[in-house]
Amino acid sequence: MKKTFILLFLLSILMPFLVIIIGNGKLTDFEFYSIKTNYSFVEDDNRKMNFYVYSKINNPLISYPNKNSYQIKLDNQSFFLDNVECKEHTYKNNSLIIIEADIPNITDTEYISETCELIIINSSYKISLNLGSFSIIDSKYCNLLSLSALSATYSYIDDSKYLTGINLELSGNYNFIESFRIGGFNYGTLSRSKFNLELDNEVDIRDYIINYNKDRVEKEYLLQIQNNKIFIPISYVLDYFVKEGYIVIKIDNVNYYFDTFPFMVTYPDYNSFFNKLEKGEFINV
Amino acid sequence: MKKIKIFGIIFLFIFIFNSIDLYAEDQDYLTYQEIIMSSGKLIKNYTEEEINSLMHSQTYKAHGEIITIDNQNVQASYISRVTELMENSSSSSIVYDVSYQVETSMKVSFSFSGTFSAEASGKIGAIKSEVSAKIGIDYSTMETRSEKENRVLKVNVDPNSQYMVVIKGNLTVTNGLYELYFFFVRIKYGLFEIVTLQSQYAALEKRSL
Repeated sequence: MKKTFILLFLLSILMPFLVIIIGNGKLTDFEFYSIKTNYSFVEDDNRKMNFYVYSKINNPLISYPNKNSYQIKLDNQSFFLDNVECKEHTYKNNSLIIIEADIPNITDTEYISETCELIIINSSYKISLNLGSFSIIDSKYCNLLSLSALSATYSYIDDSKYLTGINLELSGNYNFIESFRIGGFNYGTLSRSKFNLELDNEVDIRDYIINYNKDRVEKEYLLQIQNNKIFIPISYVLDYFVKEGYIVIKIDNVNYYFDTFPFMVTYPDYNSFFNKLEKGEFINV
Repeated sequence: MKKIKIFGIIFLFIFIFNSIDLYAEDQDYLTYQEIIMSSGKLIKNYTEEEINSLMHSQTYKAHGEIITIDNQNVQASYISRVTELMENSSSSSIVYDVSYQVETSMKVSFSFSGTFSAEASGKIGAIKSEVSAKIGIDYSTMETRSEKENRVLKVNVDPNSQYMVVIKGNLTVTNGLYELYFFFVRIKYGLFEIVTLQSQYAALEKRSL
């Protein structure tokens, strides 16, 4: 009996160490994901930008700004994020972490990058995530467009939700629209635009634009304005998710922009974009 | 005398549980400007007759709960005004920097209107578990709370105009009746409602002053 108790006592002391030894690697092999997104922001005073990361565990270390450094690597430059704040939403056994930081002052015109890599380093590990693309426009670069209405239309294509059109109502008298885009990589197909049409937020785009093709990019087209209310189908240079972004539109040979607008407010369900989820690279330090 | 005492205790038991309160976990959806269901209605709009018809459609039970689902996963659209806005009563355009908030994550809200006081959150939690099990919602894995993100929007506001950012979207509604029986006596009852936010979209709208 005495031996049994001594054995149990020793096991209770040794067990935690055994768990750590056996579990080493597995305990720290966390999984982080991103949905490749066309991120685009307007650079102005005190503006913030948001990036979205999915985590397989709740309350991961990366959501503590005072314990991490956050860096963005673009096509030809990189910078550390300043004044980072993290918000975490527990979501169906996963977490969505919103990383908010100051928009960097990297251009006084417009800067467009096809790549956007987020690197987070702490005392335990380093992760690298491919976020998608990145565009920034300075608010003083071109005129602010006046609109009477703005909203977006989303459709399911190949089981993924895409921003397939923009409903807008111009405010003022104009003659021609020559180009339209959201950020750096989503162009309006002006030749297929419809006047006096406003679609709901979720429709099957092919019911309204026959043979709609999101990959058919048309960067310029001279569209004569018949009516200030226009539905513009959207195409994709990069097949990434679009949640929000700024608009650049050329009207009567003048460039205008409209501020970053949250077309879709809720971030997609982890499982809605499962085939577009990209796993981040994880390295134990 | 003994029988009078027993009936008195039963009566007291019923009386204690006869207060009706509305309990709502995260009441945001109740403040929406408009919710349009494809069929059915929200529990706040139920009449006494409709509640009674739900009750009387069930047989009485010796002991335990009866959960009657009236509307299950009914699709609905909603409008929720986010910011009031930017108003310009002058004769020239004005540029505004408007701050507003949006919620990024999906949200599930639970409401209960019945014979519990609002302090009995433990009871509400039990009812929520039973109801969600009955209708097949794994409530424990759904988010019931979400934080709001701060946004800024620069808008060129036309003369004599008012602009607003409106949030619209889709949700599903499941509601019905919860009853608890004790020795063939209904001692507790109430209407429950689970609202699941499915999507939210923002729209900019302009109105003339």
